[in-house]
Amino acid sequence: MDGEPLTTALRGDIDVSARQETLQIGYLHAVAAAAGCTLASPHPDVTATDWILEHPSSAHVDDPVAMLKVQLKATYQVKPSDLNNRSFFSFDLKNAQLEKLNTSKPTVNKILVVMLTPPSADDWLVANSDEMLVRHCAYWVNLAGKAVTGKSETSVRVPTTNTFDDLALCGIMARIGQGGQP
Amino acid sequence: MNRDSLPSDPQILQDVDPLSVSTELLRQGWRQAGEKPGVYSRWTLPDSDKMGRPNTLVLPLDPVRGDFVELMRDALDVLSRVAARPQADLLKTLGKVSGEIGDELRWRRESAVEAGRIAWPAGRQMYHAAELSLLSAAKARLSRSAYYGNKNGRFAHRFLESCMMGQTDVGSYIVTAFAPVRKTFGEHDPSISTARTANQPLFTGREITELLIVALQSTQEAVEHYERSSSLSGFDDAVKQGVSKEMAEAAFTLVSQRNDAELTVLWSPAQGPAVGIPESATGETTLEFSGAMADTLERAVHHLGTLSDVEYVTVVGWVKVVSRPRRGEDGVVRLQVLRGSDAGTLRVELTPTQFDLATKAIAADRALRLTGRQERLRTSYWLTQVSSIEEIDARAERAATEAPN
Repeated sequence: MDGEPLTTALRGDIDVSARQETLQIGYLHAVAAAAGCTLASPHPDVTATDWILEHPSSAHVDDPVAMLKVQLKATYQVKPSDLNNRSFFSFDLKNAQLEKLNTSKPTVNKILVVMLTPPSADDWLVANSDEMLVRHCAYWVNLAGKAVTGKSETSVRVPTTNTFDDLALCGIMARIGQGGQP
Repeated sequence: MNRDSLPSDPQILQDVDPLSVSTELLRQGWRQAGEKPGVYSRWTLPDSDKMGRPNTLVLPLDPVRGDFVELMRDALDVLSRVAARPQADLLKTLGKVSGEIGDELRWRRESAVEAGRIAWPAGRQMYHAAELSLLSAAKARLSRSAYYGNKNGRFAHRFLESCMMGQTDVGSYIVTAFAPVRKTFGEHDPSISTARTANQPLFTGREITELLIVALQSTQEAVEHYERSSSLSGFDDAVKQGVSKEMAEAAFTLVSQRNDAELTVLWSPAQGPAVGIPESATGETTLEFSGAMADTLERAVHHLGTLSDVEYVTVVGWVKVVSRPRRGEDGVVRLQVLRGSDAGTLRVELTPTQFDLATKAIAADRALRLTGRQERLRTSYWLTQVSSIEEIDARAERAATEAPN
């Protein structure tokens, strides 16, 4: 190399969906940390939901720990510019996955978190002395009671007001802690 | 952890009693850390070695909720991983506690060869006898008949499909089955949801197993009656108790080589004792069949086969014609059958009191529900020995069952 600078980084040869998944797991950990949640991935190969979050608080009724199951999905098909003046974007979910998420009166509440990423990993992260930026943003939706309508996939609407960040997660956990829904 | 050992059958998981799981959790040192009463309880394992093994789990408490099976699967997975026990083993323990794995039926037969082995044809006969017993008991639970053939077959097979074949055991030779206890069965398949399935009578698995024992006891009594009197009429009477050609055939098959055999039911403790059946202090009921019964049972099979037109039924219908020689004597009414019998019209013999009730039903434009012995005489069907009769509002009932869900 003789000290010649690389114009492009040597990123590992893993496919884009595996990269996206790892990126989103990082995002989820950051949000959970700020919201004061512990998180675990029980058996992602057995059950549909990827993660279970626990939020301990003396403000909760009955159980001092509010629980939430989270299913992560990522896409680069939807761009942030598509969301201008839109109240939702559509995301196609396999019916089998929707059936695991649409339990109408669940024991433990579940949400779907859809993260929008730039297509190229080159554009995912920016770090400086002040901040670490992760692109783009994730949105959450509660699919309890959502019917399967498609043949093999069903299009679900994800509200653009449901930004998935620490404040949103705190709000979700507060509602669950009172016996409500996400 | 071998994933293959996870129970994949949702029905098994659906039937697991949360109470039995919490008992097992306590036994293994888990502590309840929180709960939403009636919804879930949350458990932790103190002092866990943190060797990558999970130390928290959520136990679902409400089987009606859609994620019950998913959470139960997770909970049992964690429990078995921590306890380092196979799932099947764990389920068996839980079944002993909860009874949700079922009443255990063990058919035992003497074998001339060493214990635990049996000649292949004789072994096949045992499985045949066991299956025939379960099927004929289920058929009789739905309606009594001296001979079923294919009748009530779908109902009976739904029950059979809910039974589990257990491991054989060392003994002469033993065939084991686990029959569901609380699961219910109706005449019409509930997966095909129609108005007919909405209000149909349901029978629990326990009720079917109880009937099997009662019917086999009646079979033994009918054999004894034959030995005293050389008359097979005991079998005619036993039809009311659920005995049929098929049931007699099952008993005959067990002892067909003039061998002794027995059936033991270990009643699931969680459900409590069986109704109206004597059992030992350990919750077992054993029926013994001797090889000497074989000839009588074989005769009974042929005899019951000839009574194919006799069955005990509960029918609903409109009274069309009433007639009796004079007031105060037995009378006959003609019933247009709505349901409960293959007959379109039944001639029904009634006592004076029952007859008066039937005439009142005509006046009030109401239907009757009757239970009795149905017999076919050439081209007409008769209902005799009516044991219960009541007026019902069939129009309202029909309107209710035909209303959309």
